[in-house]
Amino acid sequence: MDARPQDDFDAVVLAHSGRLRRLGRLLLGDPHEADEVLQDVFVKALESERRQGPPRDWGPWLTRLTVNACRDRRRAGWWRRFRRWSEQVETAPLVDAAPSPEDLVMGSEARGRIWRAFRSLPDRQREVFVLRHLEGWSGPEIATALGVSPGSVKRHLFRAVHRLRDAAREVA
Amino acid sequence: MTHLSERALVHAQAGLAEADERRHLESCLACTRRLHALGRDLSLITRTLTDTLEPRPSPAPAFRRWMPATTVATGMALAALLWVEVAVWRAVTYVPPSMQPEEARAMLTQVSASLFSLGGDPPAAEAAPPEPIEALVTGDEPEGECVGTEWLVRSGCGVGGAS
Repeated sequence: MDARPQDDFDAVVLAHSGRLRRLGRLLLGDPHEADEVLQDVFVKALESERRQGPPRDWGPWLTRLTVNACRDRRRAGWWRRFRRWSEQVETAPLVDAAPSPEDLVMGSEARGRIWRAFRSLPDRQREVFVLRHLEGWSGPEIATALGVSPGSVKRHLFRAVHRLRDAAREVA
Repeated sequence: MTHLSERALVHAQAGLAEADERRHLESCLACTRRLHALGRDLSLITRTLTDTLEPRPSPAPAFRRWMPATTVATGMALAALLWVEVAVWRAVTYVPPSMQPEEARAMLTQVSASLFSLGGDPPAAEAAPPEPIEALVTGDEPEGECVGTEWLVRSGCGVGGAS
């Protein structure tokens, strides 16, 4: 018996939701916003699949959709993040209650330095770094997805790595 | 031999190096070591970003972050209030014209003379030579018209006085 289209799409959601949620959190810095973006992305993906059929490769297509949705969210939703800022502060002790093994090895101060350096990157540099070193995309793929030249990708990547490495060297 | 720059190493680590840079890496031990060091740093960074939770700002630093903005906003509000008080409020509020010292002195003298006069007339009026009644009647003023308390001294004023 053939699988129904809904089952196929559920499988796509299962296969990519964890990775896309992490990508959204890295780009936005807000778990709630990342979850909302993820929902929007899958709704758009479902609509697009019904209209035009499934894409050739779900992974890059969903990643591109997520990156663009995060960028739109950053542009439009500054007030929403401002509103949520107080909620994040209140939940801070609960989120950090159970340190992972990496936390124990590295220490919260060192971890904080790397995270702060990552958050201080310009949006474009952060996108290029995440797509290259966390998503494993190639330079031309990143250039196509972000609509920039390959030279621009290399420039953004170098600046991002340089700043993050400075923070990591302080750790080491 | 010229070693690769940090920029070239970053590009090589990301698989974006040019052909001559790749050739150099194959033959240069120092640059290969630097590339491995870069790889270790990047591994530490990516592990931090993927395996650890992002620390949230604590309330105290956040309070300090908003402190300058709050101070500036308060200062601007005070400046606006001051401006309203000085420029706007005073412009719309009626302030009586101030008296010259001579005028004030004359007015006060007149008031005190009126208050302490036994006859009810101010001393200034007594000091001035009384005008003859005829002069009052045939003065420049139109006959029969009296102003204020002139009916007391003018024969043409008052009930039946005009006839």
